[in-house]
Amino acid sequence: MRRTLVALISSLGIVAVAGAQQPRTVWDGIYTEEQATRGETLYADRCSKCHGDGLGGVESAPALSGTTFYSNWEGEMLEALFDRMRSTMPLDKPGSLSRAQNADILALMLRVGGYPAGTTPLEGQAGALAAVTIRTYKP
Amino acid sequence: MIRTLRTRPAAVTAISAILLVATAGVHGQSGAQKGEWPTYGGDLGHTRYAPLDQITAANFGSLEVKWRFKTDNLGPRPEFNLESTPLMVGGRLYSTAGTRKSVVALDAATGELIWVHGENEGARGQAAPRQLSGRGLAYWTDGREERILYVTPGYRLVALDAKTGNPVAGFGRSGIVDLKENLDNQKLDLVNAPVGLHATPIVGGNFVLVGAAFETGANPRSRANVRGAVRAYDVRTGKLAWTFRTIPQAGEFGNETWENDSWAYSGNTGVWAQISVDEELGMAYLPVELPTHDYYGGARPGNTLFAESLVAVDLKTGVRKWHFQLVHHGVWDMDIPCAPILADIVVNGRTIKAVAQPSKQGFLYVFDRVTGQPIWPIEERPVPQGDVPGEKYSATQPFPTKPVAYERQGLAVDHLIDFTPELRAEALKLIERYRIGPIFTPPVVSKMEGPIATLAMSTQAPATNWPGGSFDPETRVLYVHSSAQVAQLGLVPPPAGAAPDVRYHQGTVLTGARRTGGSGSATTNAQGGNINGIDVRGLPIVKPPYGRINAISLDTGDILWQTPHGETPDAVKNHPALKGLTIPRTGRNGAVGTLVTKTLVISGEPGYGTTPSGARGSMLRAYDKRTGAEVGAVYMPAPQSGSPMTYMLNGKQYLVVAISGGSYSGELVAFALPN
Repeated sequence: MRRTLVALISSLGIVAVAGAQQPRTVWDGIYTEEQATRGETLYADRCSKCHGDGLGGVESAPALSGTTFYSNWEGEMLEALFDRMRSTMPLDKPGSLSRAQNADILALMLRVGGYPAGTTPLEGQAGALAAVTIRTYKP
Repeated sequence: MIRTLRTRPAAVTAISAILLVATAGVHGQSGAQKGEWPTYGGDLGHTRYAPLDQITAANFGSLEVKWRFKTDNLGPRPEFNLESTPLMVGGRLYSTAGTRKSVVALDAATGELIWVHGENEGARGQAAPRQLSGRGLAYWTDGREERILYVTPGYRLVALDAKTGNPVAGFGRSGIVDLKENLDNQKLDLVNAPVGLHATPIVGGNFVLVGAAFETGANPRSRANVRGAVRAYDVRTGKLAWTFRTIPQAGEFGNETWENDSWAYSGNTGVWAQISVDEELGMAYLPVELPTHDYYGGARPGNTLFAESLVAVDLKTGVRKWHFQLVHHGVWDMDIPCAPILADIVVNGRTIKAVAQPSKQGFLYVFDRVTGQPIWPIEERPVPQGDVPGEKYSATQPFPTKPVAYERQGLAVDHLIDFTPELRAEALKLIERYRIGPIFTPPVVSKMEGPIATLAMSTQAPATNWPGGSFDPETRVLYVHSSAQVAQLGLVPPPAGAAPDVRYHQGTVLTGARRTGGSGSATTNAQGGNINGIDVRGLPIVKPPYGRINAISLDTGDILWQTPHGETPDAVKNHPALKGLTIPRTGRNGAVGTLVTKTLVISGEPGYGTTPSGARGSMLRAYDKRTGAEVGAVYMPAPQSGSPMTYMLNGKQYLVVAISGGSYSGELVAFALPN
């Protein structure tokens, strides 16, 4: 019952937030430096064991930056990447990071990917990233 | 002992099995027979060959999706990395799938679910070093009974009744053998010991063989770890039949190759790749990985047999018949990643039962599988020596004289990107602070002033990885995909928390322990190159092709053709620095397997891209196996993540491939020609 309620609220949230948003891309300064720095600590603790200290990937865990990574996500909404992280990572304890923590890690990934920081932090609530498109190159 | 919850077949429609398999499980080395696909590699020799010819060059492009099987609800969350090659026997398709590595039986004509079995292993499953659904499973029959065997993430060997999905009561304890027990006399914590297996077990001669896989070995917590070993169990009872020690203990052959008594504490050295079996010869072929620590061998001086060796053992006893070490004292993570391929070949008019081993380093090693003698000489040659404190390098390494390496190795100036003079100049500048050299150039201790790392292709970033290759027994040609990608082999002091006996971890001063790339890092950018990928403005630092399929005659050892596999990545095609240039198809790097049929080599491209229709996705491609010319391609919504297989059912040839990646969760897709 509770789960249903949460799902319902989340889906309402998507509609409400998405409706209010302008289409943007990852090039539009969608995170802050401060947030990405917070993400560094989280990444080191929870992600680096598999994905490598520099997001470069280690064997079976893919790189989280670079040509191959961004080719695989080109044209997708950032929400999809965020949901993938939130629901499946870290592999030994999926779903154990909060939305805010995942948002900080995603901010770090964007910074390492070379996308510019801005003044407004990347929001982790459902639907917040549904209008942000991943574009490898500046449109 | 932890409790397990089983998803019994209750929730699923039961469909009566009508077909009975008439013969015992002898599959031979001649490809998948009778239109079935009874083992992971098509046969026990992993040829990935089926002599089917309904799908041809003329009609490949008209293939359509006959059914799909989505795997999202086979665990508590969807899986995005489905690596299985399903089996097809008697009209049923069997596969592992989902985040708990469940087993499903499907109607091979429609994809309808017949039964599902899952094990909720609780904390043991969570602690597993090899998560997710793995590579698949094994099938066994004695002509009456049929069984499915697989290894759970928590490292338990499970036997299921293939008709019902119920555990086989007479096998182990209620259908389960705990593989953390009786692992080479080690007392293991049944929940937390970090050992598992994502490869499939293999059944040969009424034995079921299993290896061992560990956490990836770049950053070990200690020089000590669980020892890998290969074990065989009676396929009827689950009773342990024999153990082959990959780390010989005191008094055993090869023990002296572990200097300073390093055999006593070193671990790993498992067989995490697929094992092959020749039932006629009564032999099994074991591709062994590295000992503990992939990049620093100071704590394990010596050649450390049977690390990075291909070992042939007696199928009934596990006694070693022969071995060949492909890499001595490895510090490049060149452990053997894929199945040895059993191939009967004709060299200078003489028929030879051979075994061919593709590798991360881009060499194909070919031996007489009876004697272990190389088919073409393999020479010990001097190799570059390094200067990492405490390391003791092997002065020589084995070099096959034939076939020549099928992928580029090491890194040379000649390999560098040359789309434009500017890009090449940037690449030359970039490598100034790195060490480059031929194959077997060792890692360095990373320094800010340089060298930051050794750069090399065909090492940790492998030429060929776990999917391995295919072999056509009629033409005696081997097909294998390879990638050209550059790894950074650097060492840094480990972070706090590592045992004092660990001197280095893999990493560099730019990205080293606890120093993730941030604003202070050297460079960033999808557009301007990033700190990890050693790329030039986001472009690979090496020339294309980035991925290709290689066809190698095992009769002559000659490479017959090489063709780029996969459309040029969008990130390259659309790169601002390449505007106006015509770039021939580059292929893509990644781990993809091949399938050979009567006329075709079939493989999906790795990674996503813009497909001919404009849709984002990936293409399943077919090549004329004689020439390498592409003859057809069909759209898939996500890249191939498990190697393709094929079968005939009710007069129709099916082609099934596991796809997943990015935001697309695991799915089996079956293609066939229109009715």
